[in-house]
Amino acid sequence: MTGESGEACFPQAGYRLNPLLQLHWRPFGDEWVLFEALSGHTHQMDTLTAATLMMFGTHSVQLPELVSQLAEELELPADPELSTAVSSVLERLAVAGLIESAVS
Amino acid sequence: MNLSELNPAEVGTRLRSPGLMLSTGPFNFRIISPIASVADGLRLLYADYPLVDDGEFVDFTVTLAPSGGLRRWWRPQVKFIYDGEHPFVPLPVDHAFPLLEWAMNWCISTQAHHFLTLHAAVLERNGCAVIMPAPPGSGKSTLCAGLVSRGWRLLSDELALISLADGLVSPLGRPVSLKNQSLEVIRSFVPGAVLNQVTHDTSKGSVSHMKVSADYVARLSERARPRWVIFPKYVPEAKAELTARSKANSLLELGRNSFNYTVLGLTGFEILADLISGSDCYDFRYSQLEEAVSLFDQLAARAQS
Repeated sequence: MTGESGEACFPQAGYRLNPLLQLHWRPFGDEWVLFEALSGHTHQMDTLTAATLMMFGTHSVQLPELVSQLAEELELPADPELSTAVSSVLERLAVAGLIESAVS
Repeated sequence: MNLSELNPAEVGTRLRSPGLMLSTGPFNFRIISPIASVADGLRLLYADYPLVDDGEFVDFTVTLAPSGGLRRWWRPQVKFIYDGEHPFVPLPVDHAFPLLEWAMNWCISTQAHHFLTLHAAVLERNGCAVIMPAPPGSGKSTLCAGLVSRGWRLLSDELALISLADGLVSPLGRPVSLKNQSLEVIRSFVPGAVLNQVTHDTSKGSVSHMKVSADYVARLSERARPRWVIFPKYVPEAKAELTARSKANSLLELGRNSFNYTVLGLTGFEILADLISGSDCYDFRYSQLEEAVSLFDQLAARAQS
């Protein structure tokens, strides 16, 4: 699904947080558990997934901007590898209904 | 007043009408049944439990009635009645006592939403509780019975009742359910164990229940703070071994093992997250009960030191 650039499936207008969500976080070492009160779903996340979701505010976010912010936050190189990983995380978050395409 | 203070005839009379009222931890049950094996099982296993006085609130009224019509003579059956409904299919009448235990569990697990309820055994030592969720066949009840016989206080072998206010676990203290091979394992491991008569050919195989020590029944109001969450698994030939497991995943597994986590919403999540934050989480494999108990004792000793 995702190309080497990590941008193959990224919507043109970017992603945004699902505005209906009510998120409640709990950290456990390098893992996180997220409870979404509207659906009642509980999600287990690694640091990259949790940090990615936390980067979303009220505005839509583009991949390069997101990768740059995550690299800074997590002290990782902002390279294609990170871009691919983040792109994959975004796909999973979108499937879970936690983020959505900004054009929808 | 305890059940043992009633003579057998009085137990039978009360069971017919208006019902025998017993307290098991935070719940009062009214049990109505004319079936002799129900009376026998209650007198054997619940002798030390307090009776509920007339006028006290009864949480659940459980009726086990013989089926009518031809079933009175041909392959007689017992049916569980609750609020005029029949939640389970009728069973052969000799399954009446295990059906009573399952019915009591059903009442709590489907309606007691003032607790977060997990399908898990809970035991306590030195003020610290271990919560052991596990699917059927994992050896949970066998391990539970073994630990109880070696000084671990039984809070429950089936239902962990976690307070929504402070996260403490309330004892239920009901008899320990044993089945199939575990019956022989426990008879050998605990020579003095008091077991009810074995019921064969149930949906779970051959089942019986082990009486809980009077000392533990006397402490049914004494709650405990969770200290460990341990997922036990019986593995033939395996050496007893505790392996640390992910807290995040343990939280999700406890949620899956809960009867009402989704009912409670954010409150359930907060309670479970607090429980996991304050507990060490392990997977546990074992094959020999003696080894397993020894490892749990070491864990309790380390927590105390």
